[in-house]
Amino acid sequence: MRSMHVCTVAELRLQIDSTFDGVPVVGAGIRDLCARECLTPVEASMIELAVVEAVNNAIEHGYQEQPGGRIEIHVVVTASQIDAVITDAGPPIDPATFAERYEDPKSVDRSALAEGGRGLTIMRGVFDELRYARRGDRNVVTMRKTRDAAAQP
Amino acid sequence: MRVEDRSEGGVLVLTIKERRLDARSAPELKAKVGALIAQGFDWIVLDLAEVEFVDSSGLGAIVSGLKQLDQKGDLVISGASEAVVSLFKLTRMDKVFRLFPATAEAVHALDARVHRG
Repeated sequence: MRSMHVCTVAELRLQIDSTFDGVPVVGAGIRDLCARECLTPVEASMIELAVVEAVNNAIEHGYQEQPGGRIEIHVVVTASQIDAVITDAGPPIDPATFAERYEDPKSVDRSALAEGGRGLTIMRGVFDELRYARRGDRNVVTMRKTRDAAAQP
Repeated sequence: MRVEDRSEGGVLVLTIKERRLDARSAPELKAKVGALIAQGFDWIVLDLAEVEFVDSSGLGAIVSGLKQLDQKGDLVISGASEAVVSLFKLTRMDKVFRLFPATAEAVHALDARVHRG
């Protein structure tokens, strides 16, 4: 028997109402899960950030910030990868929304900077894969990241 | 949202006294920064040392401050954690904002520019 902690498969399932008040709870749950599964605090924070962006999108665009909608969050961490699935029952999202956008700040002046619209950039930057699907009456956003083997104990 | 502001020479230091700068708190920060700029504060250090988490909404509020400055002064960041610096890099906002490890350093850099005119 090995006495050291061995990272195995761990998951988090949460449901929140469609208001921003529930989002910090999601963040705390993801940080705890990631810490238990041997991710560094910064890695855990980035996973939290990307999932929070997906949840914020569901609240803002899926439910227009109206309470009473349900958002499901499912995160699975294994030794080799991290998967996150965020589901809402809002109206379908135009898949073109998920097209990659590129901002080169050197070429824009202050007044041309966008205040919003960086959520997808963050989700794509943290995870290796970002997918959107309409399944029945639900929007399903899936993110996957391969864990860096060298960073594991 | 709890924010403290103080003047150091010609520089305003705005210290965020919250752990999260997110979709809940961003509108308030945006309004607060906007009000201070309207009062004539053009050189601003945003001290994020106590902030553990910033999302794109929080970042948007910070960008909004810079936009409201227009051609005047500057808004710089101090004390950002490694995770918050990562957010700036991911969104390339590290090319737009100067990030200082410590507030004193940020104040010093801005103060020199204030006096250069």
